[in-house]
Amino acid sequence: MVSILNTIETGHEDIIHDAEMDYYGLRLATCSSDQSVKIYNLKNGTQLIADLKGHYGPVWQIAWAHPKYGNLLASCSYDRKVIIWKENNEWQKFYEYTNHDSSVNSVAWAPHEFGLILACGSLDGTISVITYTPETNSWESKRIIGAHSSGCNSVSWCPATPSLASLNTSVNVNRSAQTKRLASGGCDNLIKIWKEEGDQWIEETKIEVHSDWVRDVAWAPSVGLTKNLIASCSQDHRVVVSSSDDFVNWKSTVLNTFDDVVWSVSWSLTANILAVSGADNKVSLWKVDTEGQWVCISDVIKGQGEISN
Amino acid sequence: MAIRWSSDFVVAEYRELKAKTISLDSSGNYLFIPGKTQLAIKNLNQPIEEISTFPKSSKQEPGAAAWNPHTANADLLALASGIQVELLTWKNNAELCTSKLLKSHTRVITSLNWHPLDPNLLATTSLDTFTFIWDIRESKKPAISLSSFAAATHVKWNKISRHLLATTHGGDVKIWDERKTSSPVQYVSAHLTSIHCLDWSMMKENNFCTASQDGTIKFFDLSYPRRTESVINTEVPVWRACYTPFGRGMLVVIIPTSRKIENSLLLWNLANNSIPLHTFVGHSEIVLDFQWRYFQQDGSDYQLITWSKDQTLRIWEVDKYLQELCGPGNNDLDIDCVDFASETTKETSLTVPDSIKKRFDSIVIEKEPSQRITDDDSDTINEDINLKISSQDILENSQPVDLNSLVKSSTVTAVAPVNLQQEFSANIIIPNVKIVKTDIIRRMCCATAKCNNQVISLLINFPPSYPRNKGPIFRFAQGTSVSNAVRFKILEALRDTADFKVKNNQACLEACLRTLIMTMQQLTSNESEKINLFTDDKLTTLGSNQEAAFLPARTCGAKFCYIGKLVCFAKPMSQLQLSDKNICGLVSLSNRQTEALQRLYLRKNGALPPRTKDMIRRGLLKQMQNTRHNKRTVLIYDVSSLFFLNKELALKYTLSGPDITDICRHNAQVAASVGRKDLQQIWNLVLTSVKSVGQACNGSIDWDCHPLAKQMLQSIIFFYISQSDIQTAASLCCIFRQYLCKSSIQSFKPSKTTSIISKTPSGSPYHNILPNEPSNETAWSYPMRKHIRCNSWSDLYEDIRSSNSIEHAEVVETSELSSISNTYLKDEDNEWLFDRIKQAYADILYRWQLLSVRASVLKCVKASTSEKHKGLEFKAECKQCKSSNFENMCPTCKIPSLYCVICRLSVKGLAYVCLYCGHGGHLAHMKKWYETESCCPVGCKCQCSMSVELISN
Repeated sequence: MVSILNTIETGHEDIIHDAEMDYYGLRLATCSSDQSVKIYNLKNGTQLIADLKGHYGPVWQIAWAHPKYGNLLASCSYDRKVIIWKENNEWQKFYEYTNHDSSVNSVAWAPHEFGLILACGSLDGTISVITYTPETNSWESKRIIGAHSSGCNSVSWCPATPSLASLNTSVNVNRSAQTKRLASGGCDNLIKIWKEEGDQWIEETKIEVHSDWVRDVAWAPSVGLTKNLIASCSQDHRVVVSSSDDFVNWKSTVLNTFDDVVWSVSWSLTANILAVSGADNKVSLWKVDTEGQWVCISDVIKGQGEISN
Repeated sequence: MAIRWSSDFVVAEYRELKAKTISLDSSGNYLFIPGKTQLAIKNLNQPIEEISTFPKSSKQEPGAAAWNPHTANADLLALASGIQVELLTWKNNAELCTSKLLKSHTRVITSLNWHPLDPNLLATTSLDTFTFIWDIRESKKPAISLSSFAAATHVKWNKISRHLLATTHGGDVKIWDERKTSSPVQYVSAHLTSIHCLDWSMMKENNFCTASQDGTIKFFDLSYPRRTESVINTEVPVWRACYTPFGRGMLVVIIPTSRKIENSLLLWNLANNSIPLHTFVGHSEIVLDFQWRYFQQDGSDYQLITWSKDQTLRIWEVDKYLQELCGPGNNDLDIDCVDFASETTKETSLTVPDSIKKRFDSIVIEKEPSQRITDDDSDTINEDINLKISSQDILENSQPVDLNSLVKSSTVTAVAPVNLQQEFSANIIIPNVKIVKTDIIRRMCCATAKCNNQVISLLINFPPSYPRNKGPIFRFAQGTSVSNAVRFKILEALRDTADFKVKNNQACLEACLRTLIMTMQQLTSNESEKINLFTDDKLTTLGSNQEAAFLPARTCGAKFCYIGKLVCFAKPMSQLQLSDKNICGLVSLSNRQTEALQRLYLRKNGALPPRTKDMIRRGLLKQMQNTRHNKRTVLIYDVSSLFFLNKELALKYTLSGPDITDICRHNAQVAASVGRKDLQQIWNLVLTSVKSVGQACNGSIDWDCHPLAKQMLQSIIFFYISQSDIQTAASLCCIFRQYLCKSSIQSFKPSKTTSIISKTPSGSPYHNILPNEPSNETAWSYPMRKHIRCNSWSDLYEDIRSSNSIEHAEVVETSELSSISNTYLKDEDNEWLFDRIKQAYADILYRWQLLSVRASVLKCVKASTSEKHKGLEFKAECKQCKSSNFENMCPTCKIPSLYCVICRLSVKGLAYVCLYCGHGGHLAHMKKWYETESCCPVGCKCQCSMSVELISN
């Protein structure tokens, strides 16, 4: 049964905004309003291995890069900066991206197959896609200006391996050269799908399902899926799962309407379970039952560490 | 010293109310207290215990409340609750009922304000960024809507001009004219941190003040929106600052940050910005709201009604003496202290009586100019001069003079004889800093500073009133090389230094230049120092003028990580309880700017009163004793039981071997050993079908001989894929990779050589894409491709298989072609899908760090999507067929590809080849050779040891 594996006293002086484990599940990174990012070793108990200071505002989100690029962690903050940290014996600032004009709300690494690419969504309404070129040891950025008119809250990448359905529609497309795609959610209540064409990012389509700010979007891993799935949550208390065969036409179903604002959605590795959390301080896990309906399989009541089925 | 005494006051405690705000009606008789659970109205003329309570109509906790200040609508109350405004009617002084609802906001309403001149107009602001002006006669929708990009937290109508109103957005102020709704008429970037209160002057149309989290109250004049007229520095965050209805006073509520500062209610005389005039002692906690009550019968008696967080109501008598201390009221004198200060710079226009002049002289004699005058001293001077001047006032009727301003400016001239010219002419020597130009007429100077290859060129403008509590204005001139972030920090540091100096009326140029070079050195040299220097007290990188909407921050979340781990974080339960009261309890434990931000974020549920730091500490301590969930913890849940991934199975499964029946039997046992009976059954089922296929095909396993086996196997795999059981699906895919596709290797073997040679005209199977084979006359084309060159065995096999399938197709009747092609496509898709599953499983194995298992899975992946090799490649060319390959043996001719140049034997293991001349051989032999030699062992005159560099260049 579901059990608490580890309780980490973070020592953060303020509210924690994000926590993520690395690829191997050996480390945990957390970020907080106290402007710091902390990294813990989870092997043999919990040891703090780095307390990264460099942001001058609350740090909203963090993301681990694929380990084939080394130990890299991206963090974004209210101070309009995105910092990429790297471990070379000790954790150091690797790159700092300061082109946003307002709070950066979300960072997400592209699937590792595409290279070392980071997408950043900001309150200034733009999305930045910054790409690392190892040959020149430089970062190059592209911006999607006016992606969301009043601010972008979340970005999520389309997996590198396409789902089966998207292949059927275009059998002759080279399967190994996948188009890069992004989903983003913003304060204009929209979810937008972006794709890279040439060296431009263009809006492929938008999904209008929410009646309030979209707080989080999550593109499901494609493993075993026949369709593309995007989960989104919003201030309108709803979680919506949208599916598509061709990235253009999306069919949306409301997973559930919650009692409070919903803040985050997260897919499991095998894309069959969705974790939802919101302002009511609760986490619930959702799964599709045999009839194709979304059902809640458990409630994790936070702070109490109890799970009710 | 500020005068401290206890005024007479009335105290009443209404603990059950839990209110945050109060509002007095126009008559001054009734006080409205919107409590958390019920609304209360207190008749102030009745004994203090009596209070009438009324049930609340909405579930929402009440936010701002305001009684209509006009006698025409004296019975009307506006109460913000959640996203709507309730208009309540106070009927017959006994009954409170809801008359109207104003609904249009989409986020919590933060503030509301009745128009001071029009009884029907109400302004509301909300976190939805809109400011609405309602005409209550038409309550369906707002009469005027003012749109800004940032969440609005405060609104206030101008008290004199009927069209003007101000809204605050974080640290910024926007001034609107209701006749021009498209954009604000003025934009004032007032503070770096959030503004808690804004108030318009009662006397001057253009003047207003803002109280902020940053510990200052700033005064602005709309005629000069970029300039701060004056500042009161309280050192601690200011919750409220409102002009007093009498004199030139200001009532201020501060948010104490430590136990030492216990009193939060202060009265200031605006003429003296250095120290409060009076402290109201009594409340044990912060005052949340206050109202002035005016006794008309008496004419000039005011009562101060305060509501504190300790849920007590206090009524203070503010007697005449105290009122007079605040200076003359608006009727008598009308010169703003700042205007006056600028006038006095002319010096000549002001005639000061001899008596006072003498007094000044004596002061000058008494005190050294450089000596810092203490607050005590200035107060005594203040009083002394006050007495002397009172008589002079009558004499000088032609030129009205604000006495207090005069006093202030007098003291200033007394202690700060240093003028700008003296300052400019002083020989300032600071290393790396040069004063380039001074201009005494335009009151400016230009200085450059050089440090760490960076140059800063700074323009300093000295306002006329400098250095009397007015610092110079700094600007960067052309030629400044530092980044905007550094500029911002330098400006910040400069202003701090200047403010510190001018607060004591001292010249600040030299100190500022020293700060400049010091800050510059720190900022440009070391990143880590930067952190220490600037994170402490100032919000350095946040621009105050950014149009940021305030998103309530995420305080709870869950993320699936790794394999079957759920990382959860949340506000601790204790914090939850606090936030129920709309207070972010833990905020004040962190530093100030975070506090400010946090307040804003948490304000989404309505206006919130601040909580004193020690209270929080106390509260927290208590909670720490009571509960264990008070720390900021991250919980990692093991949710692997929800997924069908088992590390033990991964480790123990056999994926390849000579006999498939053995593999199946073994895997069934493994499944049973970890308690997966269902998987054991599946493996046994597969085992049975393999056996039956074997029987059907006389011992050899040819799945085509069996009518159902392959379909069954496929449907089993698809079932597991649909269940997201990647492990089982991928394992089955790996074991039966040969049989899942159209034909098997066994059935194909006899025709192998012929088909290869005849059907691949290019002669080599190692082309990226085979040409489509027009094997018969139909338009049927089978997209045969190999994606990337690969040396795995399965690759070779795939080629053979596809050639075979063509052969197979030739046999098929033309009429059946279309249906066959469909299955072929589907087959290819299946194969592709199975490869994806295998890759996904390999990824999971990688995370488990089961690398050898991963390798054996990846071996079964046909089309490797791994990245293409970049840079140089080594290929061998077959001596016989001249085809190039990566093998140690030509796949068609079976001739070894490479012979060692030293021992002349074929190379099967590790090889080294000179990239320049192409000669090479066994790694060990070549290594030994190059240890002593630098040229090629063949004698081709190639300097092999140099060749690597040559090629890389």
